[in-house]
Parts: sequence; structure tokens; C-alpha cells
Amino acid sequence: MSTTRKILYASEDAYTSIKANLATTILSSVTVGFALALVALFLIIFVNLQNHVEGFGERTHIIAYLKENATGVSKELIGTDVKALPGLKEYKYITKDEALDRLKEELGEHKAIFEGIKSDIFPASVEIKVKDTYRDPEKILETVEELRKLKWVAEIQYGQENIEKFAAFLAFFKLAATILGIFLTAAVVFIISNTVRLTVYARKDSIHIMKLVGASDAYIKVPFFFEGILVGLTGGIAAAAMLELTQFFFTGRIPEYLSFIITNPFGWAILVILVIVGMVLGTAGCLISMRRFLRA
Amino acid sequence: MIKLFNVSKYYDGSVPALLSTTLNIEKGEFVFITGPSGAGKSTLLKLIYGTELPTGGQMIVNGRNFQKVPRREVPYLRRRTGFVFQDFMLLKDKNVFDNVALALKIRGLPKDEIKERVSNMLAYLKIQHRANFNPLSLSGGEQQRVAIARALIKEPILLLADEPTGNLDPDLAFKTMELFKEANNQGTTVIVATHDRALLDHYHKRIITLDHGRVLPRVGQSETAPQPAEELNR
Repeated sequence: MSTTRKILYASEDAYTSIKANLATTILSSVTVGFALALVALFLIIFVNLQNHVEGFGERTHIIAYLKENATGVSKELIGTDVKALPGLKEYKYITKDEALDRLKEELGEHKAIFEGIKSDIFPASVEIKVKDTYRDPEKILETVEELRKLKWVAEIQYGQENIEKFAAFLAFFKLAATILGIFLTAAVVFIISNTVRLTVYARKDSIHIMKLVGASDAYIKVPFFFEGILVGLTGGIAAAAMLELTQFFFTGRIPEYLSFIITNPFGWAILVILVIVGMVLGTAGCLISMRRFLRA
Repeated sequence: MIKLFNVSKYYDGSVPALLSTTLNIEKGEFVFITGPSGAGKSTLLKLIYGTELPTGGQMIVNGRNFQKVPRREVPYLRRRTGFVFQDFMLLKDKNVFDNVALALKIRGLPKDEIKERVSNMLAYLKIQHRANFNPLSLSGGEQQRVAIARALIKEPILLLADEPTGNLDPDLAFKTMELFKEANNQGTTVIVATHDRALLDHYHKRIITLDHGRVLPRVGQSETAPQPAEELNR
């Protein structure tokens, strides 16, 4: 009963203290909000770019053209051979007719130039997509080498140069984003912890006096704990609002094909994540900052 | 109640504040600690309150040795001791009522009881009309009374006061001392650090004189005070 009352009194203290230090609390919330919005914006741009860049990889495939008049080659045999390839994700058999139809489709209004031409002049082919884990040049070559051994394969196209460039770009992109992300996160944690530390520092005399009067560490911590939660909560909501505003501001102001960059891929989850991260950083920052004053 | 044996205190490892001090204060005693500035009066009170730990020697306060008390238990020991600080140490973001109530809130007492006891204490010290005021808006004497109220509301078994009349006019100083005397009459052990000659002469209580961190034998002590030799052996 006495413990419940102590928590109640400490909560009242938190309310009084927040009211008395309203300007500091609002300033802390806004700082936390800006810091979290910065990280969230970076995360959104990073995830969107990564998805987009990986989409290029998705479109990378190997095309094996079939030999003309290869004897004893059936669709079933080709299927069996392809399924045995390392790293196969999916494959599609393209007949001569389908190859002609595709070309016509790609030419659009100019497709008339193919009028009267028979599909015989086009080779049948097999389009092979490899698994994500097989998308680096070395592994694709491994698949290509296996393909070369097959008796029905005449020629192979796999855009070696593009794959190498893509792999190098993807590796660089991930490394750069990771380094930038680490710096940004470190800066944000530093900003939030210092903001919180200043809030606690401003009340170091109160902490000292409460200790002298005989308050336990837990009793002194409770108001700061609630304040940390409040600062994190409002900071998280402020960050989510800032993200929405950013998206609203840029919509229509940047080219349509770039709009994917600022589209929030996480939906409402980002609000929950921001609020939780804000509360964790706010309370942890408060409690860690208090330790040195409590030990003094 | 309080026993010090060869207690020394050095700040920052080398600055001496108290040197080989041995003394004994009985339960229910009223003791003045006096001496010039820097003599070690405040340090002695801080050692007794447990806000400082001795560098050497042994000391027991109310049956407990602060050097061996776990940190988490210290607040509970302080709840039975009142301390009136020279600079009042009042919370600036709380009003007078809440400053005094804090000493009871931390013990988790019921709200009604806290309200009644704090109101009575403020009335007793004649500052009930200032209950909703911020301490910073009060005069020095009023702030002093709030600090005394916060110390007395604990119903302490030991009351420590560091220069409690330093900011008060002579009339208010004597009124404050009467409050301490009243607490002492009700069984509280009272230790007052002061260099106010008038108070020492007016109240015939035991006097411990400190100089450069050492307890001095005092010539012409009051009748109730023990002789230095006796004090060392108690």
C-alpha cells in the first residue's frame, strides 16, 4: 500500500515538475523529434533506394539460345537440364513464335516492319532467373559454365558487364549507407543523450536535496522516468508528423519517377517504431544521466 | 547515540577537515558545536548525517556504522534524522507545503495524514499563511522556518542544524533555538553548529569547540558539559 502511494506521489511530482519545467520539456521533445525524423527519413530513403536498386537485379537474367535442328532435344529434356542448374530461381521457355511476338510488342507502332516475316528466323530460347544469393558475377558465371556444357545451347547472353557494375554499385551503396547510417545514428544518440543530460543537469540540485531529505533512488527516479517516457512519446509523434509534412511538401514538387524515394514503405509501423525508440532513448538517457548525481 | 573514535576526514585525499576526533554524544543531549570558520563544524555534521564518510577512524550513529551501511539503506537512516542546512536546501519548483510534505511522502504515508501533519507543523512555526508560496518568494527567516519544519516533521530522533541562525536577526534566532529546545524536551537529540556567542552564552548546554579540525578543551564550560578528559573516555 505504502509503495503504491509512493509511486502515486512520485507521479504527482513528475506532473508538477513537467509543469514547472514546461519550456525545457517541450524543447527536449522537439529536439528528440527532429533527431528521430532525421534517422527515419534516412531509413525510408535507404530502404526505398535499396528496393529500387535491387529491382534492377531482379531484371537480370540469363538467356540461353537453342541450337537449330538439335537432334533429340525436347522441352522436357531442356526442363530437366535447367532445373539441375545451380542457383536457379525460375525459368521460361520462349518459342520462336513468342520471340517474334515479344519483338513486335517492344517495337510498338513500328511493329509493321515485321509483317510477313516468319518466326523461323528467330531462335527459341530459355530465360533463366537466378536466386538473390546467386546474383554476383562469380556465381552467375558458375551457372553460365554449367549451361555451356549442355548440348542444346548455342549461345548465352547474360550481360556480364552490367552484372559486374551492378554488383559493385550495390556493394558500394550498402557500404556507404551503412557508414552514413552509423554516423547519423551516433549523432542522433549523442544529441538526444545530451538534451536529456541537460534536462537532468538543470535539476541536479533538486536530486541532491531529495537525497538529503531521505528519498530513495527509486523515488527520485520515477518522475524522471515518466518525463523520459513523455519526451520520447511526444518526440516520436513529432518525428512522425515531420515525416508526413516532408512527404506532403515534396509531393508534386519532385518528378513523378523520383517520388518513390520519399514514399513511406513502413506505413503506421514507423509511428510505433519512432515512439518506442523515442521512449527507450528518453528514459534510458534520463536514468543513465541521473546515475552520477545519485552517486554524488 | 553518537560515538566517534579517532575520526579523521581529508577532502580530496589531502585537505584536512577533521583530525583524530574522539567524542561521544548521549541520547537526548543538546550539544553546541562551535569554532571559527573552517574549524570542521560542518564536516562533523555531514559525517554524522552520512553525506560524507570518514577517511580514518570509526564512528557509530544510532547503532549503525555508516562506513558499513549499504548505499541503498542510507535514505532510510536519514528519515530518522532531521537536518537544518545553513542554506536551507529547499526545492525551488515546489511550494512551502510540498517542501515540508516531501519528508513524509517519501515514506509513503497516507495523503490525509500528510496534510494534517504538515498543516499543524506550519501552524506551529507560524508560516501556515505561506503554504502555497514558492520558497524563493519568502524572507530568509521564513525559509529557515520551512527548513526547520521539514526537519521536525520527521519526528526525528536526531536533529542536526548547521548555523541555523546565521541568516536571522537576534530575535528570530532565539525563537528558532526555542524550537530546537522544544524538540529536545520531547526526547530528540539536538546538535547545533554555530559561532553565535550570544546563543552559546544564553543556553547552558554542552559545547564542543573545534579548531583546525581538532576538539579543544574548553575553559569555563557550562555546568552540564563534561570535562575534556571525561569526554574522551565516554
